Amino acid sequence: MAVEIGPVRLKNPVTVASGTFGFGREYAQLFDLSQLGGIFVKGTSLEPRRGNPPQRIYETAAGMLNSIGLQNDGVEAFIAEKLPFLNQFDTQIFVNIVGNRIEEYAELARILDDQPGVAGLEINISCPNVEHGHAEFASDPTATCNVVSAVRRATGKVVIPKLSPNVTDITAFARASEDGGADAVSLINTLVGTAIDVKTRRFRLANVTGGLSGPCIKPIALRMVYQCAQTVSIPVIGIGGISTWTDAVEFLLAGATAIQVGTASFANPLAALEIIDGVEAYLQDNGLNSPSQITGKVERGPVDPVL
Amino acid sequence: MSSNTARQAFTRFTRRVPITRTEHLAGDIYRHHIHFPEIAEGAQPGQFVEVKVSNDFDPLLPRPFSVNQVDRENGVFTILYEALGQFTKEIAGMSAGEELQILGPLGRPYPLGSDECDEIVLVAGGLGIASFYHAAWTLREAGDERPVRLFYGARNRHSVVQLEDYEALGVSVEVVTDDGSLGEKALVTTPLTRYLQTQPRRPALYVCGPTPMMKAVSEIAQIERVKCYLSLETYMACGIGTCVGCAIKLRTGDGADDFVYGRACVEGPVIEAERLVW
Repeated sequence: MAVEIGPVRLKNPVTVASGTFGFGREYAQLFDLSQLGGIFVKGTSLEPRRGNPPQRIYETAAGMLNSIGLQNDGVEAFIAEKLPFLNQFDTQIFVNIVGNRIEEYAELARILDDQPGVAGLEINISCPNVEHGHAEFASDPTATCNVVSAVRRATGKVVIPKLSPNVTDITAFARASEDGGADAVSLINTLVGTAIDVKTRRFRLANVTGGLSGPCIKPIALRMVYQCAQTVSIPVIGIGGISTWTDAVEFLLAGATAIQVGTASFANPLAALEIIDGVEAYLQDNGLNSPSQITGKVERGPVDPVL
Repeated sequence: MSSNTARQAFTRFTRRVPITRTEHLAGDIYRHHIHFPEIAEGAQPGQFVEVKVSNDFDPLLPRPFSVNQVDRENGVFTILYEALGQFTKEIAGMSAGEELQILGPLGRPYPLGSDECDEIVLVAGGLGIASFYHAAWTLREAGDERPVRLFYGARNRHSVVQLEDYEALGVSVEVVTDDGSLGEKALVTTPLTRYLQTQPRRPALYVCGPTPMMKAVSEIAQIERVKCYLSLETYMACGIGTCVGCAIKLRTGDGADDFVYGRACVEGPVIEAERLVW
């Protein structure tokens, strides 16, 4: 079941998405985290961030909006308090790094480069919920390339930009990431949306807009993963509404090397484990032994209806 | 890096479990008995569970419910709720044998120790009553002899539940209703204020109900200088502290900017009233 993201080996292709798994401590009260291929920890910045005022979340049809605002305790607290706990487990730890300026991303990369318990950095250039800062990194391919190469120069760890779907052509950003020296790209982050309460005629979220996640975004994410996998030669990590093993297999077929389980963990804390079991069974049933044997193997042609 | 070093006793549990009984208590108020021995055994008063009906995507997220009562012998606990929203209307139609996905026990319980107070004063507004039976029962089960009082405000006599259960525990109950159909026609703050004016010895208030009611009780507690704990209800996603979606504003000092966003599911649902920024 192992796959490789650059020089990093994941024991299986199923990881958990940043912002949906905290720093592991809470889910470790439910299951052994060593079963996961990897953990992408919550967005971490140089300095602590307070986050956005409530209301921060609202459920929509087959999905949810969130506007957390990257609340976190900062990178020093991550290294002192969170990383040692995570390193008890036999799984790969990826730190989702967040900054307002290129120098902040590079500084985070330098600081984390010294940490043997960190396998890689996911560059968060795509959070839709923060007022200042990194919007240009998500919306201008040149800026994406610049931030990726700055992080690349600052660290020997695996570098994975996380791309925004809130752009006209996501493949331009995948290409810019590859040009900047990324080892892989992960996509998609959430789609910007909103919701209104008709009784009070008020927005459901204090921040007005939030990021839409969950099963409702899966077809969009799958299409974007397919497009990016066609465009770049580095691995693509698929994210977006993956809730079941069939969803995960679809992403692998579309071209993903690994996947991240996000909102599904809220609906079912054991979702990632069930997906691991399901993908493994699917491979076995098809006489295969490695997920890489199905990566990108989607074909065109008729499919009989099953009603 | 070995998984053996990380292995620990899991303290939270999740699986699909059967409803063993459904009661229609009054109006739109229902109670489910749910078989989950670890939660019946381990849930502390004031803690909650996350409930989801199925793997369907609608509704997608689980919903939080207080643990209302536990029966350790039979490994059963109850949830008590009013079927007002889409989710509660759906589960109200479920009966014995049907399954729910449960995650729990979760959250910070009511601090009920003798270091807190000499009199336990429960203040309920409507379905805020749900978590208090487990609190009163736990005290009696532990042989705690301190007086327990319940001030209970409800819409009308048809929306009052579990009174006889509290009386059986020796809790002194005062009910008020919005329309006077049971007890005095008043808000729950009226009998509470009257009681506090008798200058009881070292009471602590434990409060659960609609936001305006909890705010009013907090103000009374501040004026009367009595301890006051609130059990908060918010929208939640994960229920265990990872998503930070259920943010509540917690005071860290006297300045307007002296606050942090805590999580209702971990730092709460029970919060000292003086810590909460409204």
